[in-house]
Order: sequence, then C-alpha cells, then structure tokens
Amino acid sequence: MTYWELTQTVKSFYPAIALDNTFPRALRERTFTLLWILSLLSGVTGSLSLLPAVEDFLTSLFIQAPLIIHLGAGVCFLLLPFATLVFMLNSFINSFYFRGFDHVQVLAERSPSDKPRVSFEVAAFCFGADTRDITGAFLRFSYGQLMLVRAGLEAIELQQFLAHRTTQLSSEQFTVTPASSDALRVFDLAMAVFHQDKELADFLFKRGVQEKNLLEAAQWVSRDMLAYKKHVRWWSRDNLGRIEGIGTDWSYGTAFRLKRYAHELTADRLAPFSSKPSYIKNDEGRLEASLSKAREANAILVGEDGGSKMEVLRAFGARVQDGSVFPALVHKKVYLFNASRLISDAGEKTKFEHEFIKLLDEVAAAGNCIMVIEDFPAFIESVSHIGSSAVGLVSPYLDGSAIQFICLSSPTPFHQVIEPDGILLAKFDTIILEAGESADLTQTLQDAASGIEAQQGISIPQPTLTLIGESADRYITEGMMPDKAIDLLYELAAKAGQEKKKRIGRGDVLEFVKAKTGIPTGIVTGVEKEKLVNLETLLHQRVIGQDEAVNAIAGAMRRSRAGVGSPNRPMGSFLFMGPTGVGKTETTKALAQAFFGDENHILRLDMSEYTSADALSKLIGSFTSNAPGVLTSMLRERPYGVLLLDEFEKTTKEVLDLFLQILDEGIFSDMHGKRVNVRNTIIIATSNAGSDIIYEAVKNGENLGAKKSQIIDAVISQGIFRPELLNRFDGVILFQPIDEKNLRAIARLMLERFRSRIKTRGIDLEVTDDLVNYLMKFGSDPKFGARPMNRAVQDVVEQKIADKIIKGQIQPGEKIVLTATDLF
Amino acid sequence: MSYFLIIPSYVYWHYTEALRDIARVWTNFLWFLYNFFSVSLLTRTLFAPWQRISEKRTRTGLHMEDIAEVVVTNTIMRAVGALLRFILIVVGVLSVLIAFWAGLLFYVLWILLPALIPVSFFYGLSIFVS
Repeated sequence: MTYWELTQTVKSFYPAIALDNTFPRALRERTFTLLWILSLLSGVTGSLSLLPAVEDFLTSLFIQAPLIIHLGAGVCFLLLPFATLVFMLNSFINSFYFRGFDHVQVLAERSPSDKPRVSFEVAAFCFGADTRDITGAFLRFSYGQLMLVRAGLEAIELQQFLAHRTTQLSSEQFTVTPASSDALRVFDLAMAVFHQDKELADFLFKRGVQEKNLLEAAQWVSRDMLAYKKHVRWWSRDNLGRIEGIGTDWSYGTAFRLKRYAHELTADRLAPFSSKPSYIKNDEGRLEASLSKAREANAILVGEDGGSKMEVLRAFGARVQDGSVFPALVHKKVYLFNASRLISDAGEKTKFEHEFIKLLDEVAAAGNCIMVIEDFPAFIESVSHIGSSAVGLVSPYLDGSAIQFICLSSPTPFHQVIEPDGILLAKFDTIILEAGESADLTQTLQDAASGIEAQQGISIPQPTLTLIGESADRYITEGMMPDKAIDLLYELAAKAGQEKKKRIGRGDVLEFVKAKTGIPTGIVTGVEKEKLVNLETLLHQRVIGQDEAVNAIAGAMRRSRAGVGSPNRPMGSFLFMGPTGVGKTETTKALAQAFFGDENHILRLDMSEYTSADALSKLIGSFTSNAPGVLTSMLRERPYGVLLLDEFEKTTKEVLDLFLQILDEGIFSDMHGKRVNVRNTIIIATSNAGSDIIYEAVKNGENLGAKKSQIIDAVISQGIFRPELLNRFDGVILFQPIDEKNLRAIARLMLERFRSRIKTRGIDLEVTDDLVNYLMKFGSDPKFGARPMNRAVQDVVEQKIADKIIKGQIQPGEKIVLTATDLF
Repeated sequence: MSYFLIIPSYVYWHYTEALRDIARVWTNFLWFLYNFFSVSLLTRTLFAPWQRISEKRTRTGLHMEDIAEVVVTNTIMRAVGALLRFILIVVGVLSVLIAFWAGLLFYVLWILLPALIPVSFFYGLSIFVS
C-alpha cells in the first residue's frame, strides 16, 4: 500500500481524530461526569416544583426557595444539551477508536462492525504526519517513540538522530503492507520505516538495536495497546461477562469442607497484562475439551514444576469464571485443594479417610466443583504413609460427572507412579504440557514488565528483557524457564526500586547476575581482563611445557567469556591423554587457580571408583533408594568451575553415555528428571590411554603432532573410547612425556614451591644447580614423568630439612644451602 | 483538516454506524442481564432442592414416619428453591424487558437528539429570561 493509498483509506477517521486531539479522552470523560452531576443536581432541584407541599415547606424556611427551584430547572435544561453533546462526541470518537475491535473479543457480539483496513492509531499517525519526512513523523508520534524506547533507545538519542540525520524518507518513497490479514497497525508502520530508512536502521544498529529487538518491542507496544482498549471498553461482553451473576449457587450445593482446604481459582483475577502466550492457550483448550466430556471428565496435567502448569490452570479458571467455556463448564468453580493440610489435620488413617470421604461426598453433592490436586503422586505417597490409599478413595468418584478432577504432576513421578496404574490412568485424559518457545518467553516477560512499568514507573526495554531471558536460562541453574526469568525480572525491579532507578539496562542485569551467581558476565575489565589475556603465562607458572594443552584451555576460556562460544554446551571440554605424571591434573589445577582464584574450585571425580553396575546411580542418584547423586550434588552446589574426571576410561559404558549427552548439550537429568546445568563448567577428563604409544613415539624421536590421529585410532580400535565420545570433546590433547630439560625446570619449580612453604616458618632455602642436579639422579624416570621427582623432593630435601629442624640445627631466619654432601 | 467537515461526517455517522453501535451495546446489556440473573439456569432447575439440600432415609424397611419426614423435608426444600428462583427469574425477566424498552426509547431519543439539544437549550434560556 502506498502512502497515498493509505491516506485515502484513513480519511474517514480524520474527523474523529481531529476531535480526539482537540478534546482528549481523559478531559472528555471528566467533563462528561461533571456536566451530568450538575445536570442531575439542578434537575432534582427543579423537579421540586412538581411537589407543592415540599416547595411550600422550603418557602417557609427561606423566602427565595421558589426562585432557586425555578432556576434549578433552567440550569438543568441548559446543561443537559452540553452533557449530551459531550456524550455524542465521545461515542463518535469511540466508534472509530474501537472500530473492528468487537472481532478480537473472546465472546462474539451481535451487529458486528465492519473490519477496517487500518487501525485508529495508524490513522492518527497519518493525520499528523509531515509527508516530506515519514521517519521524523514516526519518531515524533507517541506510539512510534514508545516502540523505539522499548527497543532500547533513550529519548535523547532519538532527538540527536532527528537533529543530525542527512536524509529524509518522503511519502512518495514510502510503502507499507500489513503483516497479517488484520488491519494495518502501528507495528507495520514501524517495520516499514525501519526497512525503508537505511540511515535509521544503521543508527539503531550502532546502538545495539537490531531488527529483532524492534520487532519484539513493536509487538509489545501493540499488545499493551490492545490490553488498554479491552480494559476501556467496559461494555464488551468479555468485560460484562466477568461480573459474577446472582443465583448461580442456588442450584448447586456447598462444599464446606473443600472450601476449608482449598483456594478458589475462579475467584482470582488475572494480572492486567496477561496476554496468554500461544502454548498456554493450546494447553488450556485441551484441558477445557477434556473436562467437557459427559463421563470421566478428569485430566492430568504433566509438566515440570515451575513450568506452565499453574499458568494454564489460572487461565482456565479465568475463562470458566467469565463464562467463555463449553456449556458443560459454565457455572463451575475451580478449587485448588491443599491436600497436605487435610492430611496433617487428620493425622491418622481413620480420621483422614472419614474426613476425605465426607469432603468428596460434599463436593459430589454440590455438583459444580472442579477439584485440583497439586502434585498428585506426592499426595498418593503421603496418604500411603498414613496407611491409606488415595487412589482407592478417589476411584469411585472418577467415573461419573459429579466431581471433576484436575491432577498435576511432574513428568518423572507421573511415569513412575501414575502411568503403571492402567485403570487409574484410563479415567483421566493425560495432557503433557507444551514447552514455551522463545517467542512465548518474550511475551511472558513483556507482560510482567508492563505490570512493573505500570506499578513502579520503571522502564525495562526489550534488549534488557532478552538478556534477562538468556541469563536466567544460562546462569541460573535452579528452577525452570520461564519462572526463573520472571523471578530474575522481579528481583531486578525490586533492586531498581530501592536504588530509585528509572530504567533497567543490560549492564544492571549482568551486574546482578554476577552478584547472584558468582559467574562473571558482561564486559571484561580490570584484573579479569589481565588474567584472560595472559592466561597462558599464568598457566605456565605451574605447568612446564605442554603448550598444546595450555593453549587449548586458555583459548576455550577466552571464547566462553567473550560470549562467542556455544551457550548450549559446557564452557569447554577436553580429554587429556598421556602417560602418568606429565601434568594432566596439574594443568587442571593451574587453570582453577589462575582463573577461578582457587585450585579447590575443582570438582574432582576419580572415575576408577565408578566401575560397578550402579556407577550411574551413584553419579546421578537413584530413584529407588532416593539417594542423591555425587555428580548432580556437586554441580548444583558449584555450577561454575572445573569438573575434573580422572582416569576417565575406567568407568562404565553407561557413565560414558551420560557424558556423551553432557558434552553435547551441557545439560542432563537427575534421578527425579530434574535438569542439571553443566553449561558454566569446564570439563576435563584425563586418561592414560595410549600412553605407551605416546611414550614409544617420543622415544623414537617422532613428532607427536603428526602421530596424533594414529594414536587416537589405536585408542578407538582397542575399544577404550568410542569415536562419537571423542568427537564430542572440544579437544583431545596429547601430553608429551617430560624430557630432561623440562624435568629440570619442574624440579626447580617444586623446590621453589617448597621454599615458599618453609618461608612461612622463617626458614629460607637456596635452590642451587647442585641441588637440582642431585635430584635429577633420583627423580628421573621417563615412564612416570614428574611423579618420581615429587617423591625425590619429599624424600630427600624435605626429609633432610625436617631432620635439621628437629635436631635444632636450623634457626629461624636462617638460609639453608644444601650441598651434595648434605644430601648423602 | 477543516473542523467544518466534522459536522457532515458526524451527522452521517449519527444516522448510520451509530445505530449499529447502539444495537451492539444494547444487545450486550440484554445478554448481561439475562446471564447476571441466571435466568436460563434457574428455569432449568426451578424445582430442584434449595442448594441441593435433601434428606435421605436412614433406616430400611417400611417406616411411615421416616418416609413422611423425608417427603416433607424434600418438598419444603424444593418449594423454597422454586419460590426464590421464581422471584429471581421474574426480577431478571423484568430487568431484561426494562432494558429492552429502554433501548428502544434510547433509539428514538438518539434519532431526535440533534433536534432535542437546541430545544432543551432554548427552553432553559427561556426559564432564565422569564
């Protein structure tokens, strides 16, 4: 549609828009109310002339009463036309403002209006637009401004752009097409301006606002606009239908006991900006269909805790309440039953059974109750603990239609407790809840943000919301999406409220997430930047040689921290292969110390301890014994750090399969089906596999790099690791056997470390070449790498000095020089 | 845009689209009143016991006083229910009828409004002058 065609389409709106601009809605409504009150008062005064007795009585009180009554009638007849005029003008404007709006209502209305080709807001834009400068007009238009501010721009930046731009988009160049078959909306205008004004698009890109941000912000503004219009149009069937009728209870009984132990969901009001993402609508529709059946109209909602179960229920409750459901569900009431309170009140089997059966009988007699049992498997289990059977008690009521049940369950308990009971399951419709897509998350967060904006006056632009969603998903390990993202949003809003901030930016989110989780996010600065840039040097302070491993780890850390690595995998994953004592574990410790500040930041598992049949249960927990898993507990306590898997090849095939998934997705499920996040962890597996071949190759002077694929092939052919597992690692690093030069450096390093240790006791040690040469004689065994050297330092140097301390031959503050004769 | 153009647009709207808008709002109110007084539900359950309160026989066998007690109690409950429901149905139907006639009256007033406004204004002035 060209701009000219657009202006022809919107012309019919102009009179209403002109009036709306001159006499805005709020002022109109106030004036109308005032005029009507004055007309009514003067009318009442004037009408007293119709009651002579009252008039005579008033005249007896004060002499001017007849004149006041007479004037009252005159004022009423003078004011009434003005009040009526305001009413007529308001109706005229509303007619255009809400044109076509009856088509988007849930409850259909009679005498529908014609569907307009454009919305009132687009017409309002065209009405005031300067045709030589469409972009300028859009950026000055209230909804246009709001869209760009919500897309992440600040008002001052918009002004700067308008002042300094070099080109203008004229109406001749401008075309716009509606995104859907609906009327053309401001959303379409925003996208058309963005696509056709390159200077604006470039300006936005430089400020980090991409097309996706603008699109989401525009959808958000459009949805809020719709919510506002729905709210204002109080005479719609949707709004009138929410007023609870009288007499609906007269034909049903009262479930007194249930009311004591339950909360009525149909009495709740939905939050003002709940627009219901599509997946909630779908699930709610399936629930409605299940409960509308003539018999066995019960449903089980299966979904993760903290997922959409309660949202679906609330949305369903609201629809039952406003009556926009199938006839079978009209006048029903949805009660969320607090089973644990009943169990604890009753305390023992007989009392519980008596009370529960009475409750169910009352509910059945009432005839209009839908009973929601939260966590149905846990209810069954709790009841069994007091020696009763929940299924046995509930079963007789499941066949008919007197009581309807909605049971909630998480997936794992559902599969373990409910699914095996075929007879019970047949009486329910199982509804596996859909997971929300990222668009749904955006919509949910936008709704919550609109509520916060309205309550606290804090602005939260779209890029901030996107970052909140990403950060919650990536860094917050406890809970489910979208719950944890919404929680994060509310926590940020509370913090911004305390600090009297008016806007929550991306920086605020990163800072808050860093403080909350300990995981560094955001721009790399200061000490962290220094560490990352010089990570190889820092690692080499502890690791001699092994350049391939050091470079690989340092690179992985930098990729992860810069945010260019895959967010859906661990931060890095490496398999260190090589003979014993060549620095595989030491490299890992060096990384933990250099980057995480503490070598104890390592989560270490000796995989040779996980070789039995129950190895997997030990790691992820066992449902039957309810014992938690070592790996899951470790990762939940410390989701950010290094996971070291020593002697990786020694564990079972099942455990290796688990790591196949972990390395690929950075996530796995524990015994209860709860997800464990490994995406903020570096996984390092060490293995001695192939060490003989490595040793031989180096001994024969061959280049290890050239032989790498041959060595890996040999490991695969020996059946130690499967190729798909090796491929999942970011890198398989071969550790070189330690040559004499490196071993000498290691000896020096070990002695220096020992020196710094005894320095704390006031004793110094001079590390001489003589001492190092002596150690090389005892601590040099190429097959065992640096281990013999460590032992040599312990057995020779440490022992000698310990003896000297005991004998009193060393005084505090003394510097010791160990010569060859001392050591014999 | 010239504000003089508003008047013909308004007059056109007043006698075309506005009539359809009024019909929509009017039917919404009629629908609301009908549902608010639960006319349909109460009619369907006119003779049902009041709040489903009913007596059941506790003893088996032919015990006339038990039977009489149950019959009397249940009849009273049904009678009370029917009476209260009937009253509410009458109130509901009356409300709908009033709203229906008020709507018709509003239509007539709406059509005459452009003429009634000056009449009212000048009548008010004449009261002051007199």
